[in-house]
Amino acid sequence: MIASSTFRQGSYAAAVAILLALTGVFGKLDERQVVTGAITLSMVLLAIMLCGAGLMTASRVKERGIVAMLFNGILGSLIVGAGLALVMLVENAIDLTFVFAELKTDPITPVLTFGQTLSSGIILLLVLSALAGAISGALLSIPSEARQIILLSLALTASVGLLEAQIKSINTLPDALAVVGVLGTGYLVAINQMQRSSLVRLGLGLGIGAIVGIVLGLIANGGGFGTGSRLLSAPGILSQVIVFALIGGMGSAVAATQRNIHNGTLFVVGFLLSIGVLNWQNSMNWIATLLILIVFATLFWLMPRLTAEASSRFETQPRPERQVNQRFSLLIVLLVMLVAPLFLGQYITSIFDLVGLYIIMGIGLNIAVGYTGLLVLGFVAFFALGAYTVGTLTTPSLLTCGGILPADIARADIPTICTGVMTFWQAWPIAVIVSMLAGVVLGIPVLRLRGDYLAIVTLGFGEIIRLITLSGDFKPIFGGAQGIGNIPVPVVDLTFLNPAWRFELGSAFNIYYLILFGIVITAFVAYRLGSTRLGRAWRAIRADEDVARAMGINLTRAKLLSFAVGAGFAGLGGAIFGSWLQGIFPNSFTVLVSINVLALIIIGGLGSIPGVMLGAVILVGLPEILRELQDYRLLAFGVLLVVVMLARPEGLIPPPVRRLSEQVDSATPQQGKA
Amino acid sequence: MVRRLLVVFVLLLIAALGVTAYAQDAAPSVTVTADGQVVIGLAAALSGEGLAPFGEDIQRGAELALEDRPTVTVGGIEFPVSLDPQDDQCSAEGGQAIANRFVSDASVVAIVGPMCSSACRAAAPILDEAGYSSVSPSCTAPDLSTSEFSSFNRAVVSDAFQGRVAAQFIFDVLGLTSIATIHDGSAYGEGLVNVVTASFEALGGSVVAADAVNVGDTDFRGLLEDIVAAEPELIYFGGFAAEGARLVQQLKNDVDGGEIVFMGADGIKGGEFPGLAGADAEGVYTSSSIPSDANKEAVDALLARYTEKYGIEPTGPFQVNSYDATNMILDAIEAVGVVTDGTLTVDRAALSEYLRSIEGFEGLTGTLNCDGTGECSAADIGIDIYAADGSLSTVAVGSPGDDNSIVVTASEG
Amino acid sequence: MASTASQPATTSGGDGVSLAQRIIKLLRNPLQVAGLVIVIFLVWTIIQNLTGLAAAGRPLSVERIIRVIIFGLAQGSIYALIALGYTLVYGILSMINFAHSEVFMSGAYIGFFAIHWAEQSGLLYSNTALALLITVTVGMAAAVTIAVLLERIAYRPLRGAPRLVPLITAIGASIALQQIFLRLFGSATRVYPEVNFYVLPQLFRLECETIDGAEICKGMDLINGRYDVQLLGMELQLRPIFFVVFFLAVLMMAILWYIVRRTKIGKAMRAVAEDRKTASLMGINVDRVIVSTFILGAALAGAAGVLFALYNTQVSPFMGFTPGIKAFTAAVIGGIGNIPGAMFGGLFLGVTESLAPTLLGMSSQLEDVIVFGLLILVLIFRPTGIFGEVLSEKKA
Repeated sequence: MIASSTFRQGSYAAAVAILLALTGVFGKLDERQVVTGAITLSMVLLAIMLCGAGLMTASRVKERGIVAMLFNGILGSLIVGAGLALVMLVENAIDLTFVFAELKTDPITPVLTFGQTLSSGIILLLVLSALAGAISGALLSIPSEARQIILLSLALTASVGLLEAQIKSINTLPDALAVVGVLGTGYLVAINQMQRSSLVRLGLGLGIGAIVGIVLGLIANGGGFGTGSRLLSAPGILSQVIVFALIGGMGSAVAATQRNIHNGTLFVVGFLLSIGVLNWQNSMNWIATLLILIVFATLFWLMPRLTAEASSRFETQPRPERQVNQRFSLLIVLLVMLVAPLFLGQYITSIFDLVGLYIIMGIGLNIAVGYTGLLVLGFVAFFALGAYTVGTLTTPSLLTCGGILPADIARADIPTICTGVMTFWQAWPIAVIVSMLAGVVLGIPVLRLRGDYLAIVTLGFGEIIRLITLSGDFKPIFGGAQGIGNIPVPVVDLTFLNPAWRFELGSAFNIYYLILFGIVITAFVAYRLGSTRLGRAWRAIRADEDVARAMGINLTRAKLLSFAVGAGFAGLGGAIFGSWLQGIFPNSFTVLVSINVLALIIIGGLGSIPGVMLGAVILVGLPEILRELQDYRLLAFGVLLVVVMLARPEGLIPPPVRRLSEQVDSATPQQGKA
Repeated sequence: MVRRLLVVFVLLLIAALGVTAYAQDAAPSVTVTADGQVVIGLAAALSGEGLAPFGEDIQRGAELALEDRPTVTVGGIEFPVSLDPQDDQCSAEGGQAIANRFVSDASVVAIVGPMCSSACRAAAPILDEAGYSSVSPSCTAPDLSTSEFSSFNRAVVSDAFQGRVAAQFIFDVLGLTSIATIHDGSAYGEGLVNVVTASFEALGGSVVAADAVNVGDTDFRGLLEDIVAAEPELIYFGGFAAEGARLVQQLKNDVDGGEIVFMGADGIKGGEFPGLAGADAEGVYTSSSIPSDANKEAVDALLARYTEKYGIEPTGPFQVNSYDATNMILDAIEAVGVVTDGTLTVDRAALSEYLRSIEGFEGLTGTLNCDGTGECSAADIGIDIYAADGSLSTVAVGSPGDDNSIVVTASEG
Repeated sequence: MASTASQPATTSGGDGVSLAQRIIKLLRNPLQVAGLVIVIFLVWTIIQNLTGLAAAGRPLSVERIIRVIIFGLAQGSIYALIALGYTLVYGILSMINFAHSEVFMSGAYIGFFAIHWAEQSGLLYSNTALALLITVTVGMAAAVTIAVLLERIAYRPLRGAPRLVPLITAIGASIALQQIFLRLFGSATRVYPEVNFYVLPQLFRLECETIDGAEICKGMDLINGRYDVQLLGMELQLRPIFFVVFFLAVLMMAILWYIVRRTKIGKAMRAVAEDRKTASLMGINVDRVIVSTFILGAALAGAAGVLFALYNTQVSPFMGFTPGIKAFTAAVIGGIGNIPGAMFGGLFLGVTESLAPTLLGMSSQLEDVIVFGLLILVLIFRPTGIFGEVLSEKKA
């Protein structure tokens, strides 16, 4: 009846739970509410611990039937609950606070006894544990699809609750309903008109969207339907018509499309709706929680069915038809990305900016690590060089003031003496070149080293650059610990067209586009390089250096180029970073940046550009957005690195290796013919 | 392909300009409904290496202030105040991220913090643009108040002043003429050492050796050998407790530097330092802004409450500044807030203007007068010396005199 | 790994090559010429600095240099002990155990609780030797536990994975360990108590008191004492702790050397390092051997942690990072995978780091620049490190 694995797994889970409890996690997360006034984050954590243990132990006896699952699930959860109860008993019996210092300010007992006395609290905890175990056991006995729907929608609802403050103002309920309505109508019409060509379907979708746009625009302008809505109060009825026409078109396009786009659209719709509900209720209360749960559950219930249908429709279409659909979807995705900052608000946009910077760096490092297999641990050096180049060239400095220290020049004379001061647009190519040169200079001595030696040398190089910028000896150029301040923001000067058109790309919003452009360029260059002769040489080196050399590849040259191109991208990232922060400090360029970039490309999937993007979102974006959990952010980061690597050593989105070999296969006979 | 890239570029440009035109609608005022809360943001290093205890001090100082004053009263209606603490990690990126976060949350009225000068400098342009105000309890870099940031205020003494007092104390009171300086590579430490060096040389003393350490290194013995060989009478250290304690210990135990006086600033005052340095802390001088005598009791009471509430001693001196900063903001809200139909409206521009021109604010650190550049602290600098048991006693007080001069008076006894 | 230590690698020139030929060969490589130029420049800078100091009336005394070298040796011994762990694991698994610095930290940190308990219970004063022994044992045990867990959770499942994957888990584990310690034990720095460990009162008639006419001496304080020593006509004030650290490190390395060279498990380790598959076919339990390697490395790191904390007093969750990176550099300088190489690399690095700012007359802020610059220099002349073997291509 009771499996021995239950005790083992249960005690593992209990050990983790106890360890976490001793960090005072329950006390710290108790103030953070997921469901306003009812469920705190610490309760969510407790539920995850108990149910996690239950699920783990119960899944081991899956073939033995529901009773065994229930029993083992309950036992597994009970072990964890008992472990936590034991910690509370110990906490009350002896003073643990000298060793476990966090318990001083965040004791466990008051949280886990739910405000009861110790004894009744423990009984309550144990009862809850048993309950959680039973639920887990029961969950495991229902069909796996239903289980997935329940767990996923619970998780997503909890994350909406967690991010409440940041995402609440993205859109309103009328917004969401309007979007869903228009998208859905376009979708349904397209399904019913499958016999027509995709252009006609698109036209129908666009038309329906336009009509709805007009109607909604009239209502919104007349009544209070769109109050507080960004979408519905867009300036002018024309823009509304365009927006809704595009949404309608998207609806009809999505009706027959690939898996990814279809799923993505459904996710966006789900999130729009749940944010709308949140916005309408103005806080994560029970009504909002319940509604959002329903939204997600419906979404996950519908998703597999709809997606399967949509992709089969897509597959049966002739090729030109598919292309129309694909291109339109891509256009919409691009447009959504372009207008996203408007809805996301300054904070989330600034997070996207940071993620974007890391994507640029990641694409660069990917060339060295992913393509060529050079293990670089000091990538931050090139990032720093780019930033410092832009910093010194765009501000009055020793270099731009003809060798005179700016501090020795009277403020009024600075414009006349410091004639070398450049704009961002003049300086960034220099930054890229400087970084590339540094890559070459470092590369020449170290690239013949074995992989792991290269790692430590580059790590050392990163530290060398940081210490040089920090040191007093180079203070006249790099500013020492004070860094470089008052770096001008990039300016787009179109005053020759209209005297008012002088735009400073200073805010999180418009630097977003600069970074987006940087990503487009780097991704484009990296992608293109990857399929050139040089790119193949890199891949060959990664696969086997000796064979590559035997094939006539100039190892040094290929490695140096890979190193330099990667460094150049980092330089570009650094250049944008410097003018974005409007100031540079040496302490921004620590080893942690290098590690972050390396981790994100490996987690994303070495050698894959979409992987870099996903990795950056997970490793840079998530920790930024989860500032609430500040204390546990880095811990989660470390654990995440381990867990992802254990679960998927090849990364989340590995590069399509198969396709490459297919190419080779199909290319060989042709060569044979020639 | 280049043409496509160009198209993308133009597209991005248009979008950027469009968004720039459309997005600039930062609300000029905050409204709080009758059942709502006045939210005050707080930015400090709350996680990570080394500096988090100082950040926690700042957060707790603000919490204690709100405990004393849980509501603001405007037009006879009480509005509860809540704190939104955020981690700025004491870095420029962190400061920027936090600033972006606060300005995109229209309910945040004003901000206590950021904690570190680099974060202050990165946050200021963003807060400026959105019209927000901040009062930092600990950003001491001198150039922050000369960079024309409209959002920046500080309830702490600029390092320019602290450094000058220290130099004058060394030269006049201690009567020493040759010193060596060490800093820890932080903007704070280096800035402080720069001021001390300049002021000390201006007074006629000489700086015979200058060096710096890296945070995280442990073996400073070689460096101290070099410094001792230059025969300074005093070593001035700009940095924090961990490195400061190591330097003192190694100076006294490992190299022949027992007779050299060691002096630091608020980075090694109180909290961790005496525990880390042990008996070697004896005779080490520190400086920090101090409350006027009249407030001494109130400050001690605050510290006692701190210890009682959080179970530990404060790490540094900044909880007092944070307490004052919070109260300044609350005062400002009460002064410029307008209540109509039970809804509180605080005009951001008025709030900023009020904070910039506060006169005679009776804080725990002293009577604060803001001079219009964001410099709000008029507190004196106290110079203390550690006894063998780690306790501090004040040996001199530096206060601003006429014509930008400084008066340092040795305490009797 | 260690197997080649007895047969020094030959990268530049074979046997019977004359010195002149060697130099010519050296000069043919532009990179090595560049390296030579840098070396000459460094020497020139040192001479400039020394003459400058002499001209300024405060020449660099020999006593000072000796003292600085001793400081460097002590610090270098710690690096060496940590470096041995890196080298052992690298030798067997060809992977950088990035979390080894955290193993070192955990030894020092958990050791603190032991010594704190000893201080509270009075054992530290009544029986100092026992208390210190307990502290070191607890520190080593903690380090070993962490290392075994690391191996079991983060490395073993990935043994067949691409090289970069275990590196990332190692980095992840390192960050996670740091954070777990930080969260469990708080962010405040812990301080080892001051210990006076007196030995051999008969031999060292130090700190004597006259009680009832009889002179009773406590002996030499190995940890906190500081004594004047006459050496070759020079007056040196020295702390015994530096020598204790150094000799203990040498002793532990000798034990390790013995284990690897002379015992059965050592033989098995060498076999696994040579060829894991063949070794397992020969009936060697590879998992067990790898775990023992981790245990050995961790025990050394744990001991190093406690030693380090005994004379540097402060322990914090972040204390492992800098020594870890330095130790890894040391292992590479010495030739990773090579036991004497790691020892030599550690000492060499410690002394260089300590001495270089003094000799070059530069800010010690830049001492890490020198350390890593030195690493690049060494690798220019000897791409596999000073004692490094030329690994077979398969491993490289």
